[in-house]
Amino acid sequence: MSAVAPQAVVIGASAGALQALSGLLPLLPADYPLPILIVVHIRPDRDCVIPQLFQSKCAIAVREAQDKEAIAPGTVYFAPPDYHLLVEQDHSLSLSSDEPLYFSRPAIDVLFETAADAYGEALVGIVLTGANQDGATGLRAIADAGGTAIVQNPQGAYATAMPEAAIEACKQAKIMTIEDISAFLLELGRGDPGRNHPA
Amino acid sequence: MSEPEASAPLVSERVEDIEIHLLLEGLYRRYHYDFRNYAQASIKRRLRQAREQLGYRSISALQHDVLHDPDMLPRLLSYLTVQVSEVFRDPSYFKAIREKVIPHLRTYPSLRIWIAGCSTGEELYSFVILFREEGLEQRTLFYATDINQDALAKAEAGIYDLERFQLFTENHRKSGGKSSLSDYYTAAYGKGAFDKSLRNRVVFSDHSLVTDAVFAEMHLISCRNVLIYFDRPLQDRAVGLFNDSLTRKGFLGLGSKESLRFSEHAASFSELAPGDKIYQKTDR
Amino acid sequence: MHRLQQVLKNLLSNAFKFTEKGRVELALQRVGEGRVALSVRDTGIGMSPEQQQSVFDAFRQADGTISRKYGGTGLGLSISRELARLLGGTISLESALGEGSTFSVELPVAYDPAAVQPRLDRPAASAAPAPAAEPTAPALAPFVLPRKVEDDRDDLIEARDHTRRILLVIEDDEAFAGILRDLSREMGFQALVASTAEEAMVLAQQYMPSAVVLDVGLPDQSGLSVLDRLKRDVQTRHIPIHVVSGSDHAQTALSLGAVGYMLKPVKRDDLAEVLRRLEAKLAQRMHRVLVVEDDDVQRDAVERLLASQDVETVAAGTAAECLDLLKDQTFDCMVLDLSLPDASGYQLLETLSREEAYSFPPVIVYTGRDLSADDEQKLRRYSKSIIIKGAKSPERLLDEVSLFLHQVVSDLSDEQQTMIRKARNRDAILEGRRILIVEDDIRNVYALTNILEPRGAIIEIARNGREALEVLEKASAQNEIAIDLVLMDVMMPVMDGLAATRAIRRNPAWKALPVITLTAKAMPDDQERCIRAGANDYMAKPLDVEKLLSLVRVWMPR
Repeated sequence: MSAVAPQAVVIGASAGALQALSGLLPLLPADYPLPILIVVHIRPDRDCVIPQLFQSKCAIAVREAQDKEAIAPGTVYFAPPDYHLLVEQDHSLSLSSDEPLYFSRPAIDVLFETAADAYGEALVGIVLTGANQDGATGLRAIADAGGTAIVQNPQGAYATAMPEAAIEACKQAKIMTIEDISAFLLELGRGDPGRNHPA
Repeated sequence: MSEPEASAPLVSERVEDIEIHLLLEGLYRRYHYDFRNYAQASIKRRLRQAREQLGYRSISALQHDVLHDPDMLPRLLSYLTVQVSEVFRDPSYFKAIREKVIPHLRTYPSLRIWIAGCSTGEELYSFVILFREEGLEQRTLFYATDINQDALAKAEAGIYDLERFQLFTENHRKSGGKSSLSDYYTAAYGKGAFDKSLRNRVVFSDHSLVTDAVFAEMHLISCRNVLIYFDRPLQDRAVGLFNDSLTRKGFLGLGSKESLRFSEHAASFSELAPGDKIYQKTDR
Repeated sequence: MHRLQQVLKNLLSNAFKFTEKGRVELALQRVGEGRVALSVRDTGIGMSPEQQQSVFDAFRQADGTISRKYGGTGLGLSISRELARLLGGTISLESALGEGSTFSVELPVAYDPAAVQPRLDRPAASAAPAPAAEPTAPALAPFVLPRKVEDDRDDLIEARDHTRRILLVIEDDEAFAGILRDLSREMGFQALVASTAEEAMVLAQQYMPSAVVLDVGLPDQSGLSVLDRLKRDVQTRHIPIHVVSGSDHAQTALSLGAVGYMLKPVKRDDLAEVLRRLEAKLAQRMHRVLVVEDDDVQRDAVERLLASQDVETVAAGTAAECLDLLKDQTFDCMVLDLSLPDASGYQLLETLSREEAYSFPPVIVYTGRDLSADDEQKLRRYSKSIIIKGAKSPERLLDEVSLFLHQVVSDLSDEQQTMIRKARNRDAILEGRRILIVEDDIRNVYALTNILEPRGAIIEIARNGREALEVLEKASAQNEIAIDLVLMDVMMPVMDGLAATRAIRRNPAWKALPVITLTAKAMPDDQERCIRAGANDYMAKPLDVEKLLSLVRVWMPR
């Protein structure tokens, strides 16, 4: 558990992502103090409607991430189709066209690892439902850097392979239901880093 | 309480950052390959991968060999300039080129096209085939440039793994291709080789967007998914080069999620249609 | 002072034109209280009394119509007369056949507005006090209506930059017409007044006014029909027309193309405002484009495309017609089709370039033909822009014509202006020397040629390494045209600069031929490679003019 107040949240999901995220994002207030960066495994088609989909349901601002954009609080950034999303040391976003990871581009590991480098302890990483092991190594990197690692409980997850791989790779990770993760995020937003939650 | 351990990873990370900085500086001073202004997160990933796969326990150890053994250079470069592409990648881009750019290009008696950062050549062959289909190949000179000599050699060979051609063919069709892609290549021994006549109008050359200057006047520049690897100042330099190279009302094509929005040259271009990522040089 | 200079220049230039031998004298003397006379006397052919009568009225031709052809001595004299008048002075003429002429400009030493004569007076021709010749009736006007309202049609002048501030007032109410006329003169217009639709059409087509104020209620036809006819005629459709009327035809007028509409009674201030706005629009000068195209349909299409409020098009269907026009007119730009019935577009360009007698505007080649690389290169010597006809070509043509029309010398960058000024000096080291430029980027070819040619160098061009070798071969066969120095671009198709340089060095005849490589590559080892290939020196792009010149001077063989 981190002693430093988190400055950013990164989330990765694959199969079942929309349902899981619908239990998290719409509840966040417009003035949520942290940025949230999300990789969902999506097809490489040019147009992805997920950001608009969530924007219509959320109070918090929701956008597709742009290359060289500065990360702003109170904003949810989705990685665009067919590009990896990376975080720079100066907390700006970068895109990359490197090879897919686990057949995925965007890949969760890429986001998580670069975010861990950039934010260190001040980061919360969350792995949700999914059908492959993308994100496991990344979550471990976040935990190793002193950040907070959370995995969706496989029992409530649409697809279990991803959370299971993450739990396997990252022993420090807290396993939570979507509801608990939601509460955790809201408390984060109010300034409580969730010390009261069961491990 | 785990505070001492919590701080340890941060310290060693910072050392890694120093090592990366020193290696890039050494690479530039020794071999004049300048990656110092590339976006760092991506460089770090690639260097970590290089270190791991080449079997070094630290970036400094890798740096030592790179500086002292010139044979290490191409091996390191292959990690730093990885660029995976496809023939007719992102078919809607080529469709837009066909429908919106080609009609303008027809008004010129001769044409010059620049594929900047051509890597292993997939994008180059896409353009030559498209221009051939549109009857413009004979009046065009194609310049294919990159900093990676190995990649250029592969581009010049025009040979790719055969299983990739399924995707190439599909892409070509979606882009509005007027013939079958198989008209342009022959298959043998698990490889597909593009017809050498496609290279008749092509100039392959080493050229760095970081250090080199304008070399010819262009009507169309395609530079896709290269700028994202540069930091902002370097992106501005590159776009500045493109601006200077382009003829009046010339065209610049970028990758599907790239844009000129944050560029200091944004005012010099206007986008043909939102989402096309094809920009036209404006009057001023 | 400026106006006085104009007058003197005009008089002097005429004097020189008509004086084959002898001399031209400029004299200045006091004449009476507070006045001076400047006279230009020549020993030229002189003029008969009849000629003296008409010399200031060169606008009029025998049939009384006003010629739209500009240039020539008479126009200058008309302007000079007007300018002298405005300065509070007069021009007079003394002349005799075979004995030369003396033009005198008499002016007050200090400007005195009270001394400015009203415009209607004709200058005294001192040879004979004959009354001013009455204009004969214009041959084309079918009517002979007495002019009801006095206007400026007899006194039209044209400013040196071809701006014409003529307002055509179409109004049968004499009082109102007079108000409009006076108001427009106050705003700096010259006014023409027509009181019928027919007269209006004649005046409009003949004088091509800059703007029109039109009343709908005319005795012979509705003013709206005048509006319609003017807007449908390619020649006049760009003239802004403001409609003033007693009954409300606003919608119709505006839909027919009027720029504005006012209902009578109109306040003077509102009228003044309308004229002011028209005047502001016209402050932009009128541009002239020459369209050379033999196909009627295509020519018409191009003229329609380009004609606008500030662009006037003139057409020629053959090379001969084009040359004729360029002999005594200037244009801001020329659009040229290559296939003309009597000569090729290229031959026409060569003629224009070679012969001083023709003005040579910037040329845009507009052709339906595919061009070979050779053709293109030949044409590029004379034409800045080559457009192949097609779906998008009208757009491009319009764009490039606008570009040429709005580029003014003062818009050149400081560097360019410096270059132009400096280039007037021949450079001893370069004088008569032959330099081969091997360069793929046409802009650099222009830039280099513009730097070196004015300094006396003779330039040869090759587009790639192989062509360079061919040129060198041909040149070394004859000593007089041997190349003295090569500027070699590195990155070129077919054969790049390094390969070409190596090939040059392999030939013993060219071992000492200076080769300077021009490279876009900036790193030390790239430049090392140039030297190793056999170059004497290198220059990095973007090219620094001064540095390039000094390199050329350094390496030019003595």
